[in-house]
Amino acid sequence: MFKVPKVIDKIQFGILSPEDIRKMSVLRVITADTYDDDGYPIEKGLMDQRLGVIDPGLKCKTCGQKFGDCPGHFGHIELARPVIHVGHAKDVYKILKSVCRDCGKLKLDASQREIFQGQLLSATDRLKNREIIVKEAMDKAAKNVCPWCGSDKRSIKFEKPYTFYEEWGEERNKLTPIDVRERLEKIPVEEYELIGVNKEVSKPEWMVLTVLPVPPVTVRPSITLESSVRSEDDLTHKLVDIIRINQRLRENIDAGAPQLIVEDLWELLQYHVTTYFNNSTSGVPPARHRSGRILKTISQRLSGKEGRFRSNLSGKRVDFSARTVVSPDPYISINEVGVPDFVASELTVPERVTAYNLEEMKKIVRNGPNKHPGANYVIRNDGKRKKITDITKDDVAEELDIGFIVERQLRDGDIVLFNRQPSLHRLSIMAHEVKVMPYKTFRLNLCVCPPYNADFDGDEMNLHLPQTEEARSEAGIIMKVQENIISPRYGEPVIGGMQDYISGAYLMTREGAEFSAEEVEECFYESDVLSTKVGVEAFQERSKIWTGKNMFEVLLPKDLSVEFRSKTCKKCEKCEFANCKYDNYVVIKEGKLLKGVIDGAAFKARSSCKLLDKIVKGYGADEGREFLDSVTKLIISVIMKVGLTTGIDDVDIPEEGLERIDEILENAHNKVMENIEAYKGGELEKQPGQTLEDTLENRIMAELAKARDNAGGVAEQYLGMKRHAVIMAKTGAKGNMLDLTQMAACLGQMTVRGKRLHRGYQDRSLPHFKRGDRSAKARGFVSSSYREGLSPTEFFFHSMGGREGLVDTAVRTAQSGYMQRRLINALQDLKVEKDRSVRDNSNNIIQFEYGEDGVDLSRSAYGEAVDIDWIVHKTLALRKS
Amino acid sequence: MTKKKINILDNEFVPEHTILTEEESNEILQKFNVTFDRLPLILETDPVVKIIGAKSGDIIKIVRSDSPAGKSVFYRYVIGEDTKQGLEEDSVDEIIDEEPGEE
Repeated sequence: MFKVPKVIDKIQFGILSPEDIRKMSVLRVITADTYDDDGYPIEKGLMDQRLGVIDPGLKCKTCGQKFGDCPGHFGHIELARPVIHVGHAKDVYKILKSVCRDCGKLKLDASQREIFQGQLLSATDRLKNREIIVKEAMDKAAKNVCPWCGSDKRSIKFEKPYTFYEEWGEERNKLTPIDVRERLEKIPVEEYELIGVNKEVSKPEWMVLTVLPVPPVTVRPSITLESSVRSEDDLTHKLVDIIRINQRLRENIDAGAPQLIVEDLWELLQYHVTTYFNNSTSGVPPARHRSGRILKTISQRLSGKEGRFRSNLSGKRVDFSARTVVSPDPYISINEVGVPDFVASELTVPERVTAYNLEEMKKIVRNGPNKHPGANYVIRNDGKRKKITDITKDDVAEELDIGFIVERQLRDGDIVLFNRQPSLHRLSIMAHEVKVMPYKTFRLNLCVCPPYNADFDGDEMNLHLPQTEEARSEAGIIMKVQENIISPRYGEPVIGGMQDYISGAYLMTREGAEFSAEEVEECFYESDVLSTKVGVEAFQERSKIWTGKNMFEVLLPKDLSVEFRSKTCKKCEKCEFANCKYDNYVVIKEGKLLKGVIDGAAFKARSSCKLLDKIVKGYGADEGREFLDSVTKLIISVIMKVGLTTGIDDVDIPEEGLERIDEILENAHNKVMENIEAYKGGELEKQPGQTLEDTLENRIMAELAKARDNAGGVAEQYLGMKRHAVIMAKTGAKGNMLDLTQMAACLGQMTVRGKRLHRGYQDRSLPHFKRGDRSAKARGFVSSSYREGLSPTEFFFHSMGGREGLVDTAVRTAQSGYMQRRLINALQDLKVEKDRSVRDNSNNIIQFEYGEDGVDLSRSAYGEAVDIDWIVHKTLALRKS
Repeated sequence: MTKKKINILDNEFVPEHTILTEEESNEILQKFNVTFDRLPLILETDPVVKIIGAKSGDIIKIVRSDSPAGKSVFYRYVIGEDTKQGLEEDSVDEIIDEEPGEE
């Protein structure tokens, strides 16, 4: 299969010497042009054919290989005058500072040197590593006067990005790269290790360039546009500039031009070489293309998100993957993913032919590439890879033998990884079983939306197909959706019912919900419960009336006993528990739902849902999956029979109620005015730590908040469980009562940055009000409800509050994304060792016990080893029966 | 105003710190099979370290009882102020222009 062409044993970093550059060069580039008028590469130009081939069909003049095989060859440019390499400028500065200007030795006396050298010899651990010792030594030397030759003390000044000065007293002298290079050359080899230079591979003077390598053309290919106009790579453009200036500099020097002109050209050469390396060096204007576009040079190619590292080395495009829009399918299991047939026939799994599957494989191969459970390729025992076509499929099937590998198409039951970005936690990638389906979208069970944070407003998701048996089984065992029902973050289900499943469960199991035998049989049939959980014989008596609770308990494990408060619980002062007169205390005994209504508290995702939690933890993931699959299917068939809808009349309040609300708001308004009067009259008492204005604002805010709550409270009295919107809010399916009171009674105060609205115009929020008006209406209190409709000023205020919310979410996602990246980078190679300690990649201990408590929330009972309460409860329930 | 001397060890948020004897230290290092420099560090000038009088080279045992699962034990190696600078890499400017990603 895949052959490894070369194995990298080790990588040694160093600085290229001028000799090295000349040695690896195949050509000294002297012409700044690329192609002549005929489109033929110019000899000794930047596109010389010895530098490699980029046109198919041509042969390399250096190695004779074809395009694609020839890796390209370096050339070089002899610089007329040396220039500083910007990437090394800082290091050059550090070295210049700590080294004597005359004798080139490090400015440390013998005893100090010995100390540092001794430290270097023993430097290994993280408290005292080489870098720190070198830094200490150099810092110390920089402050000294040379103890060896006693030359006068001159300080070096570094002007970013590449200019050096020498200063003494009032005088100041610019150091040209030639001067710099001379000083670096003077440093004796014995000093290298103390200035942090590896003498095996580098010399400090190599940080000043005298020869510039020219990368092969394969690194900077030119592209031919449709109009057959050649467009050169940015690097080529930059190299053209360098050669051109280099040429002019040389000519001027040879002609004995005035010092000033030579220096100007030299500076220009330095600029071009600098931008060639890094076009975003601070303090240097970026080099631009003729069109004004900033050139992308070497550093830009490597760094950042679109750079070589992050986008081509740390992350890659992969084979055996697919991406398309997701859409819901409540009839597939949470473990499954619906894969479109055209995707399935493209993705392949290599499967080895054995004596046991020979016939099956033959059948698959006979299907060819175009009929679904088919195969696309066969790898024969001699290693030859053969494409299966409709013409060859029968021959290939005939030839098929043990040991062949068939690249068969994806089929039902295959394990794939399914992912939605942003992959913020491990549940963003889970393993699913394939179910091949028609049409063009991935199908997803609604219960798995929460961990992926997916909805169906156009979300796309990715699918990856593991290629080895080990990978597939590992994914199936530890990444399967059912294994992730319980969140590792808080130990409660992240996968579970939502929206209609919750309200549907309520409609089904509430007091008085009764269904005829026909209805029940139909629902059970639709949800595949019939004959698996309930036999047909249960429906022999056609006149029997089923309660919703009877229907629900069919799906429960036969020996399950739990008790919990439902979401609709009214939180009475004295809880009656099992005798709750509102049917809000759920009692399940021996798999019988005796009392209570099933709602959000039982199986809602991302909440402490007692029932699902107990089933998964007590009976295992298989049972949990089965429960979720069947309960959701049953509920949708019930809710389709019962019906659930909401409209404006769900928030209608009788005249009398509206009057009470108006009265509350009117009172609040009056109180606000009273406060303002008190403030104006100077009678308002200052609150500790606040200005008078703050006190007033706080009082008004409190008053208005109270008014809104009271108005909401009144509205709530009229919003009974008969209204479907209320059912949704109270059961936890969607929305909350606050939303409903905002629709029915009063929106309340709009705020920006936690304050009442006050900006916009001078001393007022809108020109409709008087300057300095502090009344409720003028500062963004909306007393209308959504149902009533907002007045123009209220509408404007409302949009101000809404806009702040939008901006906040936008800013928050950007910030948390960046934080996440930094966090992941910091923590990525921590791992838990055998002794349960957490360590990083250099074996430093981070934690002595994972999480300081060694607890995996998803495998424990609320952080404890065992859930004593539940065990007691179970045993008691067992004994009573 | 007279400054009242407060013993920070009395504060309920300061967990219990004890200096390990040489024997105990070796035991810990052996248990986790590490050298002392692989342990989490703590400065000699740390307020608690100063009070309990631990010196550079000691290992301190910290027992935290406020963790959700009850007691958790931690060990930290005391280092002097001079060793510190090596750890505070001046790498702030070396985390180059990584602007927050905009998507």
